[in-house]
Amino acid sequence: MGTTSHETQATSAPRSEYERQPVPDEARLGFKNFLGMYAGEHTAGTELMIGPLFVLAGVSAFDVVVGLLVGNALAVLSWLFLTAPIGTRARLTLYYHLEKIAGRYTVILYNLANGLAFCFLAGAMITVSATAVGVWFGFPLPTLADMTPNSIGWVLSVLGVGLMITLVAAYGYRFVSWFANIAAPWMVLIFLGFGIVSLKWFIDATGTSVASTGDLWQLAETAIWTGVHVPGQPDFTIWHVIFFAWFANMAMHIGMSDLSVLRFARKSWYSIASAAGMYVGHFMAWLAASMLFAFQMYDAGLGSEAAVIAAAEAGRIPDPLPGPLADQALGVAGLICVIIAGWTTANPTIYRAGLAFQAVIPRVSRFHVTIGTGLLTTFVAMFPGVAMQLLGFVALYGLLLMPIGAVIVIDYWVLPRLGMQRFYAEHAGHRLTMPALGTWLITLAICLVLVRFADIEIFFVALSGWFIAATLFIGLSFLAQRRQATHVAMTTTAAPNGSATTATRE
Amino acid sequence: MRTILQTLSISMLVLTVLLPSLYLFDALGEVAMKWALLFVTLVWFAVTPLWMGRQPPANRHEHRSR
Repeated sequence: MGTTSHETQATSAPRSEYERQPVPDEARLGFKNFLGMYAGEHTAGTELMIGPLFVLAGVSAFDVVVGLLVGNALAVLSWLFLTAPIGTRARLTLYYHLEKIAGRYTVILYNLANGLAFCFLAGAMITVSATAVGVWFGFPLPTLADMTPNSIGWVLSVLGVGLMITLVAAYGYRFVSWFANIAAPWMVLIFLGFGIVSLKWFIDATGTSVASTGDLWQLAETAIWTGVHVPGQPDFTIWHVIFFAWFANMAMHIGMSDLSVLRFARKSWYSIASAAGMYVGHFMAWLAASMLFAFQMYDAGLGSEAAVIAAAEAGRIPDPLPGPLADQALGVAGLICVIIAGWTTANPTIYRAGLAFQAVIPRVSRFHVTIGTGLLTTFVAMFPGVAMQLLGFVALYGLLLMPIGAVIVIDYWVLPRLGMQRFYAEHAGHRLTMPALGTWLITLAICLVLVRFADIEIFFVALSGWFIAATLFIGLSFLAQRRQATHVAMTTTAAPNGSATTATRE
Repeated sequence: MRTILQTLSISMLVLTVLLPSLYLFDALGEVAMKWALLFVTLVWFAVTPLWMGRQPPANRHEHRSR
């Protein structure tokens, strides 16, 4: 699914600057920088988990192909019309922008939530890499049903991979960033290779003669994505696929994390470069990875609902483990791809989680925070349940940060039109503002209630959640700013020669 | 030299797609495809770091002269 490894890739040079000021003209970057960055970063280790999980969720060929085309288009449009216009106008980092709206303490809370989410995401990436190590050493790998570690070999493998990634994140982060750029073009094509090889397997196994796209489509419908759902897994329709693809990177576009990246874009439309990431990583790579696993299902005779139900009851559903799948398709090159895909994306994620936590505890050095974060992530990675439930976790991650994105959009575009103050915390000198914090927490509470009691699935709730957050923020801002204005007026009346600024800084 | 290395890297990328495609059309066996792909991978990672992310000689000279 890709993480925010953006910040260290194509645009690494000026990235450490302009933390608390708009990016000046001379530091702005051209379209190509964003094209390469987005294309490379969205082909991550987790794509190898998401593709197979689609198959377990029972997607049909039409649902997965059209759903991904539409969902990824919506994601690109979100970058284009929500994130980039603000990023290229304000040209501030997300953190500074949020601080101006909601105050420093809100940013600390945001960092804490973001850091924890990053730890789980990086944990899933380490899990993916560890499955490749398992192929070499031959210890029992986790099964689909395993939530906890299932063998000493698995624990040691995760520990080894996790410690290596943690040490590199703490010591040699620049090396990984450089190496990730080198690996990216090769890795994208290896993913394509997974798809080509699995297509060959299907053609051979079904005896299909593919002479036209019609034949290919028929093969896809009848053998690859059959629409048979595995009990105990989410049951996906085209709407699930659309919303999952749209919201897989919700934290980055609707959640506005990419303000920090797109502030460097000379033009707002450069954000359309995100299409390269979406259609390479979240279309081609997801389809290729799902084809690899779909063949395991086909090979096990699990093409009908009855067969799948019987296999599920007998615990004979194949396990969606990227390592063995990649090994079977492309041999050692495939295994190297799995390890590198997990490593190069887990690394910046751990580094970024470390930065987020360091903002919460600034007295502790970045090195120690990164080591601590890496150990926490490694611990998470030992629990394969996180990776096996990745579809739900990705949706939850987007949901967690979505209200902050709504706050930023409304603050920038709507509040001034309603006669209210933009960047209220900065204006009033507050370190914590109720409108932003209240919007965040109340929206999340409402969304969780909707999921729990109104049977709205977590994949869909973020859309209604965005409008709830927007409405709440307008309402709470109105109340807070009116109270502030009344307070200032009273203070000014009581002390006509006094300073209104003093009054607002209470 | 840089051009040669770049050409070699691009050839490896082409082979990364070509080898599975040859396997798809039964022009190459599975074992041969896997070994060849491992070779391509090793060459890619040996050659590409020699030019990717490094400034071309002309730019280096320009930087020095500043």
